[in-house]
Amino acid sequence: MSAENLSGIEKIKQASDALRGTIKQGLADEVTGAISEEDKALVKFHGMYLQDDRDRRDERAEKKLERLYSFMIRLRLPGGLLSAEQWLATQDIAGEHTTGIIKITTRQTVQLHGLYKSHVKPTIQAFNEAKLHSIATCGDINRNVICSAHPRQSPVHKQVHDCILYVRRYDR
Amino acid sequence: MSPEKKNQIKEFIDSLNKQEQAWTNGYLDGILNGIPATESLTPKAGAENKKITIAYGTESGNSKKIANIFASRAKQEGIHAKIVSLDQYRLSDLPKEEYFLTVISTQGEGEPPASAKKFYDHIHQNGFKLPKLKYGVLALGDTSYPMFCKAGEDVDQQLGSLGGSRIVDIQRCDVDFDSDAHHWMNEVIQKISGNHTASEPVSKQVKKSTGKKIYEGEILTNINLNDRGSSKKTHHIEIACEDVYYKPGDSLGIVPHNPVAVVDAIIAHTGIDPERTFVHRNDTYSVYELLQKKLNIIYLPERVVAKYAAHVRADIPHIKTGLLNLLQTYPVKDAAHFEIFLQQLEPTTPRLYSISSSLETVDGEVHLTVARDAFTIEEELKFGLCSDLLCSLKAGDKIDFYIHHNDQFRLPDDHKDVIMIGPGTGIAPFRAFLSERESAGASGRNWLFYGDQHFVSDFLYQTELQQWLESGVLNALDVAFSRDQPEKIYVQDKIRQKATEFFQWLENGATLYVCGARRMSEDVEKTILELIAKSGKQEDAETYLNELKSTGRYLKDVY
Repeated sequence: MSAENLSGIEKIKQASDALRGTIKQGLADEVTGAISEEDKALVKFHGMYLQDDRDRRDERAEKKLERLYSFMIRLRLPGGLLSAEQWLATQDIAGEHTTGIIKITTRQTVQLHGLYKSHVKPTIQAFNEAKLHSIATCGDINRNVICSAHPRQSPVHKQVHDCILYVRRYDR
Repeated sequence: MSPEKKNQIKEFIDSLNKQEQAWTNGYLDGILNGIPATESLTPKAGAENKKITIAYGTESGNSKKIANIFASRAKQEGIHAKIVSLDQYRLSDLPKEEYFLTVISTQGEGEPPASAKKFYDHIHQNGFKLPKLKYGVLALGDTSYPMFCKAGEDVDQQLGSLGGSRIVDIQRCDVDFDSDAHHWMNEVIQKISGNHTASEPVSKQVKKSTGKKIYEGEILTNINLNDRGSSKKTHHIEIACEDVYYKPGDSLGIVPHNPVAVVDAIIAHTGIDPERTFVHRNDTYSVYELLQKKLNIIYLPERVVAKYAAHVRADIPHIKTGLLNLLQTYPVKDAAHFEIFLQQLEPTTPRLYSISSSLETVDGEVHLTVARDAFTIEEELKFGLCSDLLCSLKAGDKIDFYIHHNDQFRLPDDHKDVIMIGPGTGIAPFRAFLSERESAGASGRNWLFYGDQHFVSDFLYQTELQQWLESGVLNALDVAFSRDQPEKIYVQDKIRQKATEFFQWLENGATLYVCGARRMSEDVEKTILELIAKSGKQEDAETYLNELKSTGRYLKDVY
């Protein structure tokens, strides 16, 4: 593909200093809960989408407050497996930094909503301590296949599960 | 005035030296107040070598204004007058003073202005005497407050008990202070110069209070700026009033009316005749008017509760409580018995709110930023009478108010920089400042420090501030939200982070403003002193800050 024919998002990626963009400055800007348009495209590769609560737009505007921005953060879970310790950590993180609701997705991962800018850093740090991360979970990246997270509903569930446990054993 | 006349005056004034300008100032002031002028700069006989110190304690600038007029009048009489703000006054000079004249105002609950606090506390200490001191006090106040001229009275009494001799009686002045103040000045000058022909005393006019202009406004908008989930309620209130005049830095004053239900209950309970009239602070009112509009009946201070206890001969705990509650628990004998106590009740204190708009952008409107005051009395949640009333007003409702001018909190020239520190409702005057500077196209830079509890729900005027940041009206905006992380972060922490730049702005001539809670202002001041000390360029941070104060570059509006 020639350079001129690159899509908007590809141009942003190319100019982003390996997906860094101005995310660091954007997160440090305490005057707004949002980040720049370019950074919105880039944070996806770090596992986050910027959203705002549409139902609250008019009410907030009247109060001279900007839109209620927050991030969705999605974990990268190989094989869809989360240990008991990791699940407990996720529960704590969800309660402390997000809406408190953990969503389990059809592509066998979990995502948290309502993450405010000031909580992004402590959230990622807490995930890191639980040996979890969100790198490359949104945008044009590969994901897990669609498969029920429920063991009894999926014939390949056990196979995948055993495989991941095997890998983890050698990982230690 | 025609431009030619203006030019002539300017040329003439430029041709005068400082002393001549002071004389001219006094001369004009004399003409405007109907006082026969003295014709020359030659000192009057008898007044030579008399030295007086005129010390003022001011909050809104009136005491300072009077002190200046007084000083030039005294100089006109050949008296050597030194003028000083009480916060700049060296306390160790006090025993050496010959004539010491104090012009001092009184704040809300009878306390002295912040700038006079150090002096006030000093003279209330024991262990020293001022036997040489000859003194006089001019007390400024407002009869609509319960503790009228209290700070001045305290100073007058205290200087006396320290051994000073009073050369003239204390003069208490209401908001229209001009004629009373001039009367006092003349009296002092005559006493000092011993020259009874110096100036004819102005006849003391008997007048009705008060000089305040009362406006009637109509509510246009009333919105709670805090979002759902906030522990606060801060209302943005827009009031329409065609002929209103104010400047950024001024406040709006309101005397809140008492709830009709409470007034009716008191009348029913005591059997007092609501039509009977009484004189209250120079005016006549019916009992009903007094109870509804003039007197504080909702939260009686302890000193009034104590008076009630003496009146009904009951043992009542010393707490703040309502009149109705007292009447129900410790009844009066009859209506006549209550009438006597009625006259001991104090007037409702006017409430002041910093104006958050500029007439340059919203002609004929006044905007307020009002936090609903919540507190508990005996474990019951209560709300401040006036803030609750303001927050509950609807579009179309009418409200009476007056403008409280504050010449001690004004913007500098357009090309000068300003640093504004205003967390919470402290942001109010700065919204007015920024509007004013935007419409004036002021070239000076603007830096705002704002803070509150939570970013999401408590960022007052967020979208307006973002707009000002984008358009360049705001050059910098630093915000501190104390409860968005485990450790508390306040505006002073943000100032500390930007210490170098902050000091550069000061060095560059910026004016520094602080508005909001008194506690906050103390923490901020501590931080600023530290950063001045650490700058390495200043040996004495206190001196540096005092210099800013005395040149009008460090201004506070705190509550």
